[in-house]
Amino acid sequence: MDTPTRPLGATALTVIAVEALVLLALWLAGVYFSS
Amino acid sequence: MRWLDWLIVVSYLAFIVWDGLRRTKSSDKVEGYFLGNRSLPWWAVGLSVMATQLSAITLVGTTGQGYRDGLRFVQFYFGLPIAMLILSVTAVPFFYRAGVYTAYEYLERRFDAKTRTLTSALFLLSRVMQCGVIISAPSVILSVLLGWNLPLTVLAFGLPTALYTMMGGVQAVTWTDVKQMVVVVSAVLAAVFTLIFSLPSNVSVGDALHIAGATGRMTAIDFKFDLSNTYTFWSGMIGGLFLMLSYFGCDQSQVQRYLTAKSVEEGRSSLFISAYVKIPLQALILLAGVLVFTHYLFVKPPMLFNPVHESKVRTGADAARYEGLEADFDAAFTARRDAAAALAAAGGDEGAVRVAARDRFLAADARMLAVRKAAADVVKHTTGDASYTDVNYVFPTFVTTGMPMGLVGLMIAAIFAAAMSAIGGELNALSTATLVDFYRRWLKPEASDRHYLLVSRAATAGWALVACTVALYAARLGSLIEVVNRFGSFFYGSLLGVFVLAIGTKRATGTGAFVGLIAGMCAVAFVAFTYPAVSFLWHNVVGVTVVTLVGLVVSTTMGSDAVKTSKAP
Repeated sequence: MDTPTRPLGATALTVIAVEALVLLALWLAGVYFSS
Repeated sequence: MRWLDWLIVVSYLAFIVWDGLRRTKSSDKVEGYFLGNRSLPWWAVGLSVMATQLSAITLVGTTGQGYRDGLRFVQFYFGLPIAMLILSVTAVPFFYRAGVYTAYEYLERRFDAKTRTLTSALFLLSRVMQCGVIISAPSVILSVLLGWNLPLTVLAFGLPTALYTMMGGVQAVTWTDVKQMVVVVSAVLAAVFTLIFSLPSNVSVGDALHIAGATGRMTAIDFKFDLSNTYTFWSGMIGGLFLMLSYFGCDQSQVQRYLTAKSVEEGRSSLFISAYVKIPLQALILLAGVLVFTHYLFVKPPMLFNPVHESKVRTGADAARYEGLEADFDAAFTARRDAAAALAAAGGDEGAVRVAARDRFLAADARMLAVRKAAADVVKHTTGDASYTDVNYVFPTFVTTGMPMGLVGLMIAAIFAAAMSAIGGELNALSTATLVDFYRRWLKPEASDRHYLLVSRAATAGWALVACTVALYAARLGSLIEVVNRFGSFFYGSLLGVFVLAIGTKRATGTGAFVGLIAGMCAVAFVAFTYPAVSFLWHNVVGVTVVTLVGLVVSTTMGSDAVKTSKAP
């Protein structure tokens, strides 16, 4: 597999966006299943 | 365990040792043995980073926490993705371009020999103790639940790992880590599907999760700011960020992983695997624990999950009281099972019916908890062990009694895989720091690769022996585990402070960093003993802040002890 080459800024934004989505999903799951 | 389970466990162990040993040929030079000739691909390094962090304690302890408290433990990892981003632009390029073997070697280039020696010594001491705990915890649990001999179980974890780590060095560790991660993730998925299929036919997964949600177990995020609570959004985001920065940026067992990558870019990419995958993986492991809770709503669990304590109680002075509690427990289980079924049946309803079913279930669950607490109190009274808890036995009990033949073997192999991947990385790092920061630095600066490899392999064997000895003692003295964890928290934040001074400032001097490190550890000790309610995650924040401030003040006021700039890398 080749080295992934992406600008660091884009990678940083992707990491933060993915984490935000995961946390949002966890929060929504908590709200939904606790209701 | 039945024949197929034994076959799977033995095949796993044989394959891993063979896979590790076949790396010996490419590890005949110091750089190959310790850094894999800086040739490993990013995905293998990334999986090795994850495997080193994930130990058997993660599998049995985290699932136990999921069973008892639900998903909220996942908040502990919220700082990890941001930490990986920060390290990808600081630690990775600095260490990689410096061409060092250990993180502490860099500190001598930037500061002085005493700072390097102290930090490396602290690493050796804390890591070998933690390595002992990592071997001890699953050994005790498997020996209790499967009736295995404890010293032999400790050896079963330690010996194969020491063998392939000793012979194959970092390449053996990395490539076996890749396979071990596959085994662990497969086993967790198998457990989750088994738990889902074990639900009664009239209870769907959604119903089960709604029942778990009624007890608060599906609430993963708590936005309350509370310094005494380890598992809140803020503790994880701030305290967890500093802990992860320290663990992945200053702990040789992790730094060595990404130093083996082909380039700085590949080193960075290896860390991003954890940034993306760690939180979902931890959530999945916790979910397995939550599903064990829902499983035991419909299948009667043991009143106490640790059978050794149970047998002591049955022959002790409180035996009659314990028998009475068992009758209460049977009644409480039946009431809770019926209440859970009623709540599941009311799943689609709105309004009063569902509220009444929910209240009935919560009352039955509270009754069940009360009986279990009373039984635990009897254990504490009989054994004199005030810290008794059987949370780590919950998931292994489900595995050995609730999973089908074959999958039991897969899960036991996964417990071995999780432990061995962590032990291998740590033994390799302990050996590297011993050779590079002590033997080659102070005793024999010039020698052949053959000589250094011999010493490294002897060091790996020696540290494995120490770790196994610690594991046997830790098994007998439960409180030692807490001491080890506390020692780690004294050290981590302060060590991070030294690297902040090294990489982040040009003014800092060796004396400043050294005095700052001592001050940081003293400050953490002061906070830990004066304000014991403050969660250990915040100790990392205290440590890094005090070291950085004191280090800068001392560096500025004491002036030049031949200030080195951070040009080294």
